[in-house]
Amino acid sequence: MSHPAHGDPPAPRQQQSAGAGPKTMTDLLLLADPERTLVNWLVRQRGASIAEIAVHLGTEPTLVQALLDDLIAAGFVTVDLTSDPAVFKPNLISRKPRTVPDQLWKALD
Amino acid sequence: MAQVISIHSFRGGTGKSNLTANIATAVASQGKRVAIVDTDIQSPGIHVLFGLDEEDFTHSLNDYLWDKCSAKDAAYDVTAQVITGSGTPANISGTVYLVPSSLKAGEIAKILREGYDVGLLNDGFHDLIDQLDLDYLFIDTHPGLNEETLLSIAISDRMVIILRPDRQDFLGTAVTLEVAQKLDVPDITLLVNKAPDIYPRETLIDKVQSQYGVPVGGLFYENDEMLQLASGGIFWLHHPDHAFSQEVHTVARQLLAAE
Ligand SMILES: Nc1ncnc2c1ncn2[C@@H]1O[C@H](COP(=O)(O)OP(=O)(O)OP(=O)(O)O)[C@@H](O)[C@H]1O
Ligand SMILES: [Mg+2]
Repeated sequence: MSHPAHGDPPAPRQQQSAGAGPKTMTDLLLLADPERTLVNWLVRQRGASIAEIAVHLGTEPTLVQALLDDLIAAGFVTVDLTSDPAVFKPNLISRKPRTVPDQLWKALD
Repeated sequence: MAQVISIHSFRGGTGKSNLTANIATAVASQGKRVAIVDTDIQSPGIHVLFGLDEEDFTHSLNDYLWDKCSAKDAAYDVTAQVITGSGTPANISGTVYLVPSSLKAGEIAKILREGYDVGLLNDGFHDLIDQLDLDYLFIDTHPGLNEETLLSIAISDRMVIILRPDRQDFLGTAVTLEVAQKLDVPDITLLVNKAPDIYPRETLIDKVQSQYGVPVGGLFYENDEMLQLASGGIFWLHHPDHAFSQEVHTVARQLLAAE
């Protein structure tokens, strides 16, 4: 389990240090509870601090931190350390960019 | 608080775009400020109902997602374009904005190929809500369950699922509902459209409600006037006394009451 490296410069959106993200909506659907419920909530909130998440879940902040660490490691969540307190945001993309150039798409460009 | 409402159907051609345009305009006719976002990036079309074509807009949702403009720049005030059957302005007391999706083949291909950040789209919706002081934001979607529809489900406060009384629609709606529940959509309403007039209203509503355990907010019969209008305008303004139009207003009132 990787913890967010405090002190590291914040990476821009979609280029967080956790290599697993961003994830797609299908990945989110396959995620088990309570992780999925938390990410769903973060999507609608467009981000939240640990304290806000703890209030929402009615759980201890330390437990919330563990849940978030898992989600960050899995690539579903990113943390914006430039805001104080840090804001946890969903790290989701509509589609994964295609790695192999597709002739059809190319022809239309 | 503004409400984000997305309109879906599992299969194509159920009437999403027509019902979205009609319901959104009916809500605006009650003095509300509404925007419709065409998130059907693969096959955009709702702008046609407002009499717009490609030349009428310089920016689209695609430009916003590529950081070429703000969300507000891609929103067009179409209130004056909303006309009655006799071609006169409808005098809507509220405001209707439309955020079109690009009709350029290359731009459609690019966005489908490269994808976009979910947070960016969501932020754009909230920018629109804040900057245009919206009461409602309606999202017209592509049929079926693709990545883009999943995300519009995930970011909406309320989801409207349109189905026809057809076995394939019934099966697909069950799948859509299952997904909506997994994405914790707070509020779900079903609309039955294109019902053949042999079905009695109450029987059909009861059947659908008991099948899914989700409320049916409206039942619309298939009708020739709608076929003749052929997406050439906002139906309820062309046929104000038609049963279809009355049902549009019933659904609009439900949305207003849920505020
Ligand atoms: N109640 C109705 N009676 C008759 N025709 C209807 C009715 N509702 C919609 N239509 C017609 O069905 C066609 C499809 O409608 P519309 O484009 O709104 O569907 P859609 O769900 O947005 O389609 P798509 O899945 O392709 O986006 C249009 O020609 C429209 O005029
Ligand atoms: Mg449509």
